[in-house]
Amino acid sequence: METNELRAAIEAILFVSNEPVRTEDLAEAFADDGGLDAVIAQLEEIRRTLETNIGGFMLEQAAGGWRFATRAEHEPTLKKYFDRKGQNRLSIAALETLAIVAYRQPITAPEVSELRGVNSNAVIRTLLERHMIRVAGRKNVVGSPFLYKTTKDFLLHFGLNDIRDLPRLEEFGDLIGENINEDLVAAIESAPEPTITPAEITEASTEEEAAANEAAALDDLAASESNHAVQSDDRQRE
Amino acid sequence: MSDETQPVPLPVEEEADEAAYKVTLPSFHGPLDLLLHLIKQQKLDIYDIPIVLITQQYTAYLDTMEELNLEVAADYIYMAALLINIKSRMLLPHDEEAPVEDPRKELVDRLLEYQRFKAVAETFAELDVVRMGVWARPPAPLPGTTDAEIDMSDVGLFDLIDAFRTALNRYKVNHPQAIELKRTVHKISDKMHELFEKVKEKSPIRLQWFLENRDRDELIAVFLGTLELVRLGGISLQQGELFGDILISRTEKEIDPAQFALFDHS
Repeated sequence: METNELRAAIEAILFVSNEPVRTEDLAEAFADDGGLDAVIAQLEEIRRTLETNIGGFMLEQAAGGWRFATRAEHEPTLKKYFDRKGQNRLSIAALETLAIVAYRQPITAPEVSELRGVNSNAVIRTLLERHMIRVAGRKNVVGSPFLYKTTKDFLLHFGLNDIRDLPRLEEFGDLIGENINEDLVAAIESAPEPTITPAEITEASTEEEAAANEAAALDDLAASESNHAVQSDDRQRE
Repeated sequence: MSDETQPVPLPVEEEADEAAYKVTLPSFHGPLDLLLHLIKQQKLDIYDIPIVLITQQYTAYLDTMEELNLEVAADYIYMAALLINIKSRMLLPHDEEAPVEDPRKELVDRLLEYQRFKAVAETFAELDVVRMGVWARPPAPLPGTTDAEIDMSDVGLFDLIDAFRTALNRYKVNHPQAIELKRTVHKISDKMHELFEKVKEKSPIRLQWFLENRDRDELIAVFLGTLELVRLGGISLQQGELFGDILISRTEKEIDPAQFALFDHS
């Protein structure tokens, strides 16, 4: 297959695929046409072409694969045309909680609350409902609390290819008042070592069990929420 | 531990026309957030926090909250207790030979850690806004894949709920609410009125004609009504020949239609 043909074939697959296309899968499909190296070269070529042409969409690497997605600047047009309001922005509390889950996963609700210094059950519920986190099993400690981890939707939403793409937590400065945010957005591009620590987990072995776990987790969160007089702003917004 | 965001009061303004207070509140996301704010505001060294000063300021904030009738969440009170505990431990004399760990260390570590997550959250917030504008094509079935293998690896409860909701909506659209057909109750009195009016207009009429296009329940009502009218003497029935038409005629007798209602039985 000619280089141009290979590129066109890859484009066709990307266009039709319902989810991000994994590089390895493409490499396997085009094993006789140069395999991994050739595929990566063409993917980069497609990405570059779309970037130079400044079209309506781009090729992005997210959640372990490649997909076409619109450029952010077309959001107003799309919202208007499709008559969509778009999702609410995540609250600061939700983002803090998400940050903790992202770096410390799998993690339990009490552990999140401890790190934030406030009860975070309501926020965890919101994040579950927004598909940003999911139940990853139960921790083998007293009370068998549920463990949470981030989802594929989380990676897609934040445009991350892999959870390991997050910059190391240590890079998020120790000094108060120092503005480091601009570098951080750039730092997300870099690939540091994984920060996930394996924990003793009882994982759900079946889909039914996983779904049951999630339902039970919501019950747990709701139960401990109702013990508090003041409901979180997250819950009220729901 | 209690609540999510705890507002911290700023100066209170009184509104001219209403006696109500309008309070502008920046929100803190917990005691750690408030502590960090105080440290930053006072330009304090986080590694050498003047614990007496910070405790005073922290509790002053809580007092203001209470003055404004804001509920001070347990999380904040717990932190106040922790600060006082650290303060008292620092006052304790300790052996020069065996130096103990700085009582503030644990708190400082927590603050630093929280600060990092706060920074990550700020980065996430920026990304959240930008990425909100990035749309991808919604999944669509591929041609010729009716028996496609279903990937259940990332299916959570909410996916199931969403799917169920969609199915439910589709069902509602495809199955509009059923029209309830009430069974018509035929009253004997109605039939009596009807027949009585008919024979007043034209007499005689054929019973067969009067029974046409009626269902079974109605026929029974008509039959009973006819018999009652005969009994009352309002009408008479004649049959000219065997199996011939039965004719209904008006009689001379005046009867009061108001009594027809008496023949309706529940």
